Amino acid sequence: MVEFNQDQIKSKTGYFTLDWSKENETKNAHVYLYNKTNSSWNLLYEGTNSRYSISGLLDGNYEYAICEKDFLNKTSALSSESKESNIYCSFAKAEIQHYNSNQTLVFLSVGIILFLSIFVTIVSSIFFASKGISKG
Amino acid sequence: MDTPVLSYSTGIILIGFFSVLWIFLGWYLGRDNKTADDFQLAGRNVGLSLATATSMATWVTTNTTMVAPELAFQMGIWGMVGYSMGAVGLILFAPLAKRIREILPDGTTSGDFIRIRFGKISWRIFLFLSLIYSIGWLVSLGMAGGILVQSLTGIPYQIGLSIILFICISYTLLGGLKAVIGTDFIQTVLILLGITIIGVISLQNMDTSVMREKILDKSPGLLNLLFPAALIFLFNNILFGIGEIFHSNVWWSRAFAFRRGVGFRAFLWSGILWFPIPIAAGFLAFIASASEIPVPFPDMVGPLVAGHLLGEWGGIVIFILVFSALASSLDSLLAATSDLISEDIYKGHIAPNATDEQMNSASKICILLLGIFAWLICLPRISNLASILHFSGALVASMIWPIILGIYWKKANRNAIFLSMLAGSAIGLTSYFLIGFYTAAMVGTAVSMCVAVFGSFFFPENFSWEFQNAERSDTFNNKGIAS
Repeated sequence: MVEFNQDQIKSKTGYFTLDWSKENETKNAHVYLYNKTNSSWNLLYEGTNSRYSISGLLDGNYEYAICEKDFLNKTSALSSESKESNIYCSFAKAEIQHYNSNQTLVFLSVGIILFLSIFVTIVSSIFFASKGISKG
Repeated sequence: MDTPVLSYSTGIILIGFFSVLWIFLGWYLGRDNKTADDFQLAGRNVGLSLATATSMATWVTTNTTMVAPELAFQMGIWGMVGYSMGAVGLILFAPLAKRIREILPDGTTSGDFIRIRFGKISWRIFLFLSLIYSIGWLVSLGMAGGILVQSLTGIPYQIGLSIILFICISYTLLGGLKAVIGTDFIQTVLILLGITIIGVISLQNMDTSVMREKILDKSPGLLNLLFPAALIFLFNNILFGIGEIFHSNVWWSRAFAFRRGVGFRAFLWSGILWFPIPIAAGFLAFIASASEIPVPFPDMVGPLVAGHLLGEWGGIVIFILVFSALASSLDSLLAATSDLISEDIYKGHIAPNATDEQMNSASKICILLLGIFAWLICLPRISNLASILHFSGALVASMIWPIILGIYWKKANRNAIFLSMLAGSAIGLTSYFLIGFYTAAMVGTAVSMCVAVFGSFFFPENFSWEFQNAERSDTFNNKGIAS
């Protein structure tokens, strides 16, 4: 049995890591990770790892399934199975909601102002020092 | 985890070779050390080429080679460019280094500057914040070493970590700053060669237009120039880099160690040469996304891609590259932090009349204890590399304005400076937890700037470095001690 450690994920960066637990007897077993696109499930990863990092996602809702054997490919369509009766897979949902443009603009502007303050202070101090003028 | 790129035996041979090389060089370069000044500051006579190489190599850390790809993987183009803007810190430190040699001709640590300029209370909080940062950096470097060795060779994390710390402690103990700077020069050559080889081979193996299409299909946010969190991160990272360099004794000890007239050019050139390195390293993350290489731990994306793409030889190249980057920073950090502890805590608080010989021993004991302390913290792999590093962002950023104002503004008020470091750190850390890691340095800088500037404006001092130096010189001549 393999199961996601977290089945609801929220991210403001479009980045997150899916991780899952395996029962003792299946520690080294192959797992299959799928994501749902346009109502069909696509294989994202197969192997023995227990983590998978995803990045660069845009705003939206995303669905993932982790299965302990190639269950989805064999049955070809998950929609024909009810999730409750599916003993081979575990499911997770991710909600991506990036910072809005106002928040971004505020932080970006503050960053630019702070950087320019440092830059201008140092450059003007060098200028005054080279002219032999003491600041203060 | 997937199978390591290098075999266990190749890993042992590489580690063995570099262990012998660095330790031999440490002994060879430090064999003429006689005084504490020789050990701590390489006799204050380092020339331009060595000075440039050591500044660049120290700033090329395992964080550059491992966190830069991690940030590019998480935040795309701006994550990569944002990290490379860390070069700005080195470039802006160039004029400061020149001024530091003028105002503190006999200085040894950044703590000396804060104590003389702002008094003991500010000095103590500065030491506290600086030591937290130094230990955080040390731990992130140690952990990076263990992770690197494990992922590339299969040698267990704890063993790799222990070997790397042992090597760096050994040669730093044997040669002091001379060994650190000498090995940095060779490590710089290896880093530049490694980055060039990986860059050229990666570009030969990947069609960039296909790569772009695949990234746009699977991870479109990575190529988005208006990626919100990445834009917020951009200036935060620049301020973080500036804070790290402006306050840390790693850079101040170099400013004191470089020959007069060398500091400005050395820091300027090292910043310019450093700039493309995170871009080259960060590019590996885009290859991971385009090639759909599974990434279990984002901080491993760099070595993982190099191994997948370049096979065993690629693994060897990246091993040497990251191992050099790791050693060049770890040794500098051990040496500079031990100076801070021995000079500012041991001599400043415990044994003010310590002799040169006692200080030499104290420096060595501090290196050893610091190394053991870092090893103990690193043993359990507690967090990912970036989170350890970014946690200290608020602390270092709150020290930017105290340093600038202390160097250039005679009206800077010591109480305002004390409050600015305290408030900047506290509010910056709050934003780290409430908003995200990519705001901590920005908030820390803003709060600290406001408190320091307004406080000094309303309650100005009239400090003179010239007067202070004349007084210290008289004390030295009369009492035979440099206070």
